[in-house]
Amino acid sequence: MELVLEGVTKEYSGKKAVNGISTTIKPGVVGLLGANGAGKTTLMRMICGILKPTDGKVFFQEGEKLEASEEMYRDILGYLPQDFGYYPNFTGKDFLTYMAALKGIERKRAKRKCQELLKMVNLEAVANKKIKTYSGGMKQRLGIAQAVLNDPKIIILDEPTAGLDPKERVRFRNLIAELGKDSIVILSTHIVSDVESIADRILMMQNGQFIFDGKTAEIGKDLEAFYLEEFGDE
Amino acid sequence: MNNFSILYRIEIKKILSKKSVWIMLVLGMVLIIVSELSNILPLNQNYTYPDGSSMTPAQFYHKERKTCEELSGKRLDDAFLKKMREDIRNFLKGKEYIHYRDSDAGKYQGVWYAAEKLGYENIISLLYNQYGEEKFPIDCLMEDSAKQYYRRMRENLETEFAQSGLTEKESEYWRQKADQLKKPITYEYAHGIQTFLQMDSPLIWFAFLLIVVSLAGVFSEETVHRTDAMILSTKNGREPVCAAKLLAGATVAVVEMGIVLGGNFGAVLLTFGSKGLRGALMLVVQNTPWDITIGQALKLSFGFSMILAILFALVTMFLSQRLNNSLSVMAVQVGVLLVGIFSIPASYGILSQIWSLRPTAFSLRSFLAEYRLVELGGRLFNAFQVAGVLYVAGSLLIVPIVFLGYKKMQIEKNF
Repeated sequence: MELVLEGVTKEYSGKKAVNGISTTIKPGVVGLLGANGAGKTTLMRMICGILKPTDGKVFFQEGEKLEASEEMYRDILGYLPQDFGYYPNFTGKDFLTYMAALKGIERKRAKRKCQELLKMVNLEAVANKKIKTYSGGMKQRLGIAQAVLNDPKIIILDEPTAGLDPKERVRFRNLIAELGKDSIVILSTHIVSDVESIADRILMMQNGQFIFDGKTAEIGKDLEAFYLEEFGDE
Repeated sequence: MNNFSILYRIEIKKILSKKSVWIMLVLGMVLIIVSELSNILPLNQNYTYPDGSSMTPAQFYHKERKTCEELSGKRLDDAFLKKMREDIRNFLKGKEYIHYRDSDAGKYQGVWYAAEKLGYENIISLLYNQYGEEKFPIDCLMEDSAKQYYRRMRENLETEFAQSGLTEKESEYWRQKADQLKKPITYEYAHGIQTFLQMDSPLIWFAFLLIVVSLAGVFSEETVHRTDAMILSTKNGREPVCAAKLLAGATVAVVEMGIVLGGNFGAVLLTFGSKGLRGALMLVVQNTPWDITIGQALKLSFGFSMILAILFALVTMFLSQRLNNSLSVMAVQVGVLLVGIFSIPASYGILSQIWSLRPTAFSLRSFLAEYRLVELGGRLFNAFQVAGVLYVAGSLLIVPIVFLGYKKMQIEKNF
């Protein structure tokens, strides 16, 4: 099982937001680090198939090859976008039910899965309350729950810890580490501590290109210090 | 399509969760009720008669309905006209205050007074419609035979053909239809339906506005809520979601049109009764050559309104997907409605004919009065047939365009 990026490029009005990225990602947690504007979100969107690359391709391979634009590819994908959106008048339960339908999960399984996940993200008590009454952290937890609803093989999390308090961050890291055992998890962030303890591999991005691609263990020193070293004044 | 019913239900929920939709719907229903009540309960005046008697609007309405319903089923032939005229003359005998013989205005006043007292007012109104252009309409109304009356009706129809600039072939088409009309006409009390037909155009307009308010955000609000990226990245996020949105939008539009028209029609039936539905269309639409009952005409009107609701909904959702901004969608659609108010005179020929079939101009009366035809393969087609095909074809054309646009949709913006 691997996610392959082949010369992936995205160009806006002559400016390359992502510039010819090629890599293969195996199951485990991949931390994607970079300053704002480095091209992380653009790359994530291309991996999710919601933004077409100007050049190159993204595909998943496990026996058969699935292109990012295909329905079958989206079936094995879980995505938490940056700035998670929701319907204010929906309850948490309604929202997950809707997401389960979007993900094509069969009704009975969806019901069971929603209950499980609401419990897992500690929203069981407020499941029937409208999302507009939720705190920022609660909304983010709901976002995480929807991302893993379909037991995805590829999980893309774009700045997932925004709005979470320290306790929730710890819970969240444990959850990601667990998911990374069987799936490909790409976690984009500019907060180094979010990925330090759980990422098997670190990708650092600057001006649309990877400036570092290596295992966390290979860094051999404090990741934050290494990050600052790589990015200088950014 | 897995889970389509859930997607469809949730899309409907999203549309109906907007407060503006409910405010507008409630406002519309209040206006309909007030408008209907105003037919029987105008607050400002009573009906007063030359003999000094007066009636409240409610009393007048009850009397009219009772007397007119008694006359329902009568054939408007020479025997009936003779009896009605005798009744009117006998009623006016000795009532000097009417000055029936003094002048045409006096005759007019006298005949109407007697007609209202005797329950003939609907029938007098029907006859008067054919003689309105005459120098002495009341004399014609009180003297002409049934044969002369129906001939006058035909002459008036020919005048309308001439005003519409019809070709001989088109005129012949309608003459053949008019020849099939059953004469003498059988009278039915259809006053309420007449009121309804005068209202159908503004009601359809109101339903259009309601549809725009409801559906302008069907696609664009996913961007506002920032849910678009999440939806598009799911298995059913492309075609199934698009289909669910279009189907939900069309359903809401049909239901809204149904509530607006059905609400008004229901109020009319409750107020005036349903007996008029079996009457000939010419009882409520002057000079029409259509040989159908009022009930059949209303079914045609409702059917057309529903097709229009779907077309308007699809256009609104197409704009929502393309413009990705609810306010812009509303601005465009209100602009379309406003431009649709203007008409192009018949003298502009084909341009005027095409314009007359625009969806925003639809009303039963206007389409019934559209005598210009379209010739295709040696056959002639009337406004209902041509517009029906165009509206359905337009709707069917929009669906794949929206699908294609949604399928290609990309998330490029950053928030």
